[in-house]
Amino acid sequence: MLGYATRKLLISVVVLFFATLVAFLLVATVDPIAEQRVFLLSQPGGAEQIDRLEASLGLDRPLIERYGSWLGDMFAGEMGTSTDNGRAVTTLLGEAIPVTLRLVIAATVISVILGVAVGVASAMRQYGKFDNISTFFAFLFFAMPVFWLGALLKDLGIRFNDWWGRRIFFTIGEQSPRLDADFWGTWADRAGHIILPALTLIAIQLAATSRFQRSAMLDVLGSDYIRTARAKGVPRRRVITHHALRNALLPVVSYTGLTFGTLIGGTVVTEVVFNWKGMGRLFLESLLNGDVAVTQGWLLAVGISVIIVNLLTDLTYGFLDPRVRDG
Amino acid sequence: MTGPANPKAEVPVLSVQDLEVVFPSTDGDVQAVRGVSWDIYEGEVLAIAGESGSGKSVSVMAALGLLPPSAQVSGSISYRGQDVTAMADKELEKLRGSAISMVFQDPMTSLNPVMAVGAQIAEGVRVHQRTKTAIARSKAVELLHLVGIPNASQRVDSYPHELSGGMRQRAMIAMAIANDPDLLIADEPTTALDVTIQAQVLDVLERAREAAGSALVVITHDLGVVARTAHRLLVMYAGRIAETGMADNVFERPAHPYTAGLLGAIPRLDATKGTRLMPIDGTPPSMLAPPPGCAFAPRCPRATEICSQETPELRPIGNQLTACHHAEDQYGEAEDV
Repeated sequence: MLGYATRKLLISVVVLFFATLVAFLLVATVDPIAEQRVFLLSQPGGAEQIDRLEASLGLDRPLIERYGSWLGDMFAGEMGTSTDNGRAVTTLLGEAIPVTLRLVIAATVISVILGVAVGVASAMRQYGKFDNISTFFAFLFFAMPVFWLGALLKDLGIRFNDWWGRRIFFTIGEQSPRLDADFWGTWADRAGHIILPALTLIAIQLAATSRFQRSAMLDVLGSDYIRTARAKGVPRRRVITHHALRNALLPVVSYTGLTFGTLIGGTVVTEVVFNWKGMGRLFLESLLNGDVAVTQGWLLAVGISVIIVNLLTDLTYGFLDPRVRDG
Repeated sequence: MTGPANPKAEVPVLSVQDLEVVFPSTDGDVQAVRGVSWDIYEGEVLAIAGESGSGKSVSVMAALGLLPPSAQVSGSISYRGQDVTAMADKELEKLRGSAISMVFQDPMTSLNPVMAVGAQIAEGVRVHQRTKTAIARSKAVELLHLVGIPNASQRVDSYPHELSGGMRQRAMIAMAIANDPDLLIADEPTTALDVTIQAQVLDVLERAREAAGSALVVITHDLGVVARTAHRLLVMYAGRIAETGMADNVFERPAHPYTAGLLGAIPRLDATKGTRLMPIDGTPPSMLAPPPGCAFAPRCPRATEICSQETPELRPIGNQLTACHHAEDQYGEAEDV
């Protein structure tokens, strides 16, 4: 297991290197002074001005040299400042990452636990009442556009608040602005804000996870080693928990790892619908504003997150499956 | 012959009476087993032979309650006089793996890939004997040693993918005899293995059976496997018994054309040069709609009109029981050879 972990860690470092290269090239291949160039070329003495501009931005240096100094800056935490609002990229990321993580972790943990439970229960009585109902809802939520489900939940939340006469569900932002509360008060406020966007993500993730778990479980329950375990006289419950579940978790671990990595950078729709200032919003705004430093910093941060999540997925996989460890 | 002197005097370990198994399917009912009765007595080795789909595995799976829930089982299966088909899950679980245990065909897929083999053997011990983990583990080492796995104390922690097919089947056998069962059932124990190690595994199975003092049912399509070990032989065709008797008698003078056909299809070391193997023409019938009369009639060289009209009953011919309208002719001819 230790050898396997070391191997995976080394591979992660190599992948990280390529991630930085891609993040750099994606932005470096776009000419940041394209507009000025067109304007200046039509002016007398414009060519010299372009040269000066390029030199001040370091564009006259070879690409590999620029990459080297950019990488150095990144590791020193010098990610530049936003051209849009003049704030440091590290500060912007530092604000956005916790917001998104809170949402994504809450949604993923809940949807995995529920998804595994629903999937296993469905598989145990295939085409039973529970299986049919859960299949219906899985496809219903799977087919729903995220923005629509989000808007629907907002509407329901507001109606519920009106009916209750108290504000339980918050529909905008990740916490109340200028909130003056103690530790518990702050968390209660955050909980009120997170329920609806988390539900939006959970509904869709739960749909997928439960389907994956169901089919994996059905596969495993029909396998020869389950028959062997039963022939040994292992009680039914133990057959499920000790023999079937561990094998049937493998596909779900892969799936969860993949989606979690994507979600860190990509809850754009949910964040916009609920007005959360997370990573999705940050990326969208940086693109719309042509905010190169922010885009680059975002790419790097998401790249690193995905690599870390993949590493954790691989380690979980290795822990669950001895064949992977030795492979 | 090492079989019991007078089998009828004692209660059989397992008794199957008028067993019928039907699997409903979208195309209609598959009649996998159509009225089969047999007994096995203490210390006996019974071989059930037949082609794929003849119902040989299904009839023993039913005994352990391992058929899918959709299967419709009728008739009775009793273990030492207790009716197994009427047992609740809990009672059946107690029986499985302790009194009756099973070795399956494919050791590649029959072991849990994410559990060490020793842990899988120890689990069987702990489920039935409630011993401490350490004791169950040392029992697993002992069993692995017994089935001839070298370095058993290290191999106990190996995962199935780290072992060869033959080693895995040995581990399966170790698992099956962990609780000294009264009855060991081996379902095609060597079919998935290389020819070179089939004999070794059969030896291990025989040794394991002796160590556990159990009776053994070997299910096989390979009469070569049967010839080595079986006391009694039961030949199945299309869900029914074609012929049964002491193995030596049946081998020497088959009274059913199907048994004769199976024997004619095995290469023999003592055959004179130039002797050809005689394959049986045709394929077994569909069990969705088995033909009326004798199911073997369409492939049988001796078939006459009566064969496709009347189902032959098992009746004594020589020293065995045979279900064939022309058993006397077949039996008579075998004597001439």
